[in-house]
Order: sequence, then structure tokens, then C-alpha cells
Amino acid sequence: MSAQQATSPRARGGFFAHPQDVHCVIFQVALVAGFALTIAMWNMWDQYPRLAEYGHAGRNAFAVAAAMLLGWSSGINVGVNFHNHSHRKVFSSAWLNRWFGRFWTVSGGWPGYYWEHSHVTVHHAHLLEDVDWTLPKRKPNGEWESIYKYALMHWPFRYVAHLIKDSSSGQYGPKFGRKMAIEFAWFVVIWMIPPVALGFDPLAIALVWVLPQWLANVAVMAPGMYAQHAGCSVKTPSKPYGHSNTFVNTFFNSTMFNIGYHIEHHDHPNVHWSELPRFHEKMKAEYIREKAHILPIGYYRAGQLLCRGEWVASQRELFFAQHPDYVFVEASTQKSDATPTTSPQSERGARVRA
Amino acid sequence: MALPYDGKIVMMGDPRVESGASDSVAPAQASNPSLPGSTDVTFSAIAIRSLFPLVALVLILGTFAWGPWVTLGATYLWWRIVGRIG
Repeated sequence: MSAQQATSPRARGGFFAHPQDVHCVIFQVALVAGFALTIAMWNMWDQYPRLAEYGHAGRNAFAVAAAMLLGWSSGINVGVNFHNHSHRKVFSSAWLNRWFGRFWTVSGGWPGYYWEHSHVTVHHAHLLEDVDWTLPKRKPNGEWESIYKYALMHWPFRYVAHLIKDSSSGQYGPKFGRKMAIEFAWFVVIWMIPPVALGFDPLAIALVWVLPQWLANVAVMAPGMYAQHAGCSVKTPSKPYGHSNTFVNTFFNSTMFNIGYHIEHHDHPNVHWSELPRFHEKMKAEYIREKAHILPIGYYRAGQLLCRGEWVASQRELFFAQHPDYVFVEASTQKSDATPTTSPQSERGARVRA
Repeated sequence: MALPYDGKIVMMGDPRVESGASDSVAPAQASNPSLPGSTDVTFSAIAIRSLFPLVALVLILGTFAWGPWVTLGATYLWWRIVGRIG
């Protein structure tokens, strides 16, 4: 046995590739439990007096609430949780990685293999290039299209069109199209489980199963994707960290698998998600020196600022403000007290943090 | 066409990470329990990492206690709170 084999998770008998990956699985299990519970409550609404007293209007209100909660979690589950798996598989077993992956993304309206292709082969390999069709389109003046238009168009419309084109183009090898077809077939089989459990009731399927998928993509993943690279440009030697925005909000990163550390993630996609905060600390001085865009908020607040920024310029300015702790001050302009928090840029950062 | 990233594992402290060459390293650093935080699988850690689906479960189950309209209102409130602090 080689040294490499001896230290691999499989050779050591580990179930997870990294101990922290247990959280990825717990998240998915809790989400599936939420869907199962919601389906059961919808089906048995009239049998429980405590629920039946609210009638079917109450049942529909419950389904909308559950759709918001589960769609929200599904967006995180695909865009962050499975995202980590697409870069670094969470299990030491290849079989488990493949099959858990097939179930992982269905509630988010995605076949896992399709999302992996979109994210890794297209987005990471061609970040911000014209062929990176996962990102918003550019207007003739170079600016991105509206966040609303991007959110409403990207899933499923643009994704489906591009995935069909990629699978039939042959540019990803002779087996790619076949693999796409097989994965789509599995997706359909798994996707049909809730409709069967709901007795093919159209209203139930729309509220309990389809609405969460729409919310996951339109209200969660799209604003997140937009915020990650808004105002950014292709990586160059003169702007090595201008390709992404990093969000250092503690609540956001603690509950979102550290996805906020996005400059770090694109430059080093194989660094484990649980280690990104420490990695960020190592890179902090470099980011300040190179004027990387660091925000004190998370994607949720950022999404709000970008949405309102379509009409209110000051909201957009708040998004592009720099974190007060990351403002670069030229050495020649520093006096005895070099604290950089008095610049107009840092004041805007302080406002957005507040 | 090969994928640009091969899924091999890199951990903090690996000199190849520090040098920016992390995309082509061998999986020798997989799962190092000696790393700080590596065994942080406590109940509080689970509650934080899976906060959103757990809140969803609580609010969905809570419908038995407080009814669907309160669940809908609480969901909206939770959405607004996270929009402010996250």
C-alpha cells in the first residue's frame, strides 16, 4: 500500500472524507424530514381536529409557509451544501457519493450531475468569461442585467437551454450525452416520489413540491450567485482578487457552510469549507493590499441591497462599500495613526454593517 | 474533456494551498482529526450548521400547536430577520 493510499479516508476506514462533512448529511436528512412531514400533514389534514378546524384555507397557508421554509433550505442545500460535495465528495465510498448525490439536489429542482457540470465545468473553469453561462448576461455597456431578470430567467429556462446544448455538442466527450440522459432518468424517478405520495393532487404538487423548487432557485440561489460576483471582472495579474466578493458575516457563514468566503473558494476550491475562515485570516493582509472587495454582510442582506439598488442608487452603493476593517491605506498617506476607518469608503461599510 | 478540478483533498497547512497550487495535489491530507475544529460535531454545532432546515422542522411541527396562520406569519418574520442579519 502506498503512503497516499494509507492516508486516504477509505484506507483508514472513515465513513466521511472529512469529520465536518457529517453536517452536510445532517442538513440533507433534516430537509428530507421536513418534506416528508409536510406531505404527511397535507394528506392527513382533515383527520387531525387541531388542523382540520382551520379548513382548506388554513391547509393552503400552511403549505405556502412550508414551501418558503423548505424552498429556502433547498436553495442552501443545492447552492451551498451539494456545492461543497461537487468539489470535494463527502463520503469515502464512491457508490455512496453517487447515490446520495442523486437524491441530494432533487428538492432544489436539479439533477446533481447537471448542477455539478454547470458549477464546476462551466462556472469555475470559465469564471466571468463570456462562456460562463451560469452568471447574469451583460448589457451592451458591460453592466450586468437586472437581478430580477436574472433570477426569473436563469432557472429553469437558461439552464435547460445550455445543458441541452452542452450535452449534444460533443465538446465534453462521447460519453457525456449518455451520462446526462442516465442522470436525467434517475432525477425523474426520484422527483416523482412526492407527487405519488400526494396522490397526484395538482394543488398539492404545486404548493408542496414545485413552489419550494422555484423559491430555491429564484429567491435563494439566484441572488446569491448574483451577489458573489456583482461588479467583478476576470482575474488578471493586476487584479488577482477582483473575480469575486467575499462576505465575512459570522451568522451568515456559520449557517451557510462558509460560502461567504468566495474569493478564497474560487482560488482554492479544494480547501475544505470548514477551514475557509482560518484560510481567510491567513490571506487577510493580502486581500487588503490588493483591494479585494470584502463585505461585512451575508448574501441575504446583499440580495436585498442589490434588489433595492435597481431603483435606489444609495442601496447599490452600500453593496459596493468596503468592509471598514479591509480598507487599504497607502503608506505614503498614513500619518502617525494609520487607522483606516475614517475614509468615506469605510464609513459606507460601517453603515451597511449596521 | 477532463473536469478542471479532480475532487482531491487539500487541507489547511498544506504548502501547496499556501502557494496557490491547491488544485493538483494528492489526497494525502484527507481528514486530519488533529486540525482544530475537525471534530466539532456537537449538538450546538449541528444546530448552527443545519439551522435553516431545523427551524423549518420546528415551525412545520409547531403548526399542530399554534395553527397554520401563525406558522405563515412566523415564517415571514424569520425571513425578514435573516434578511437583516445575514
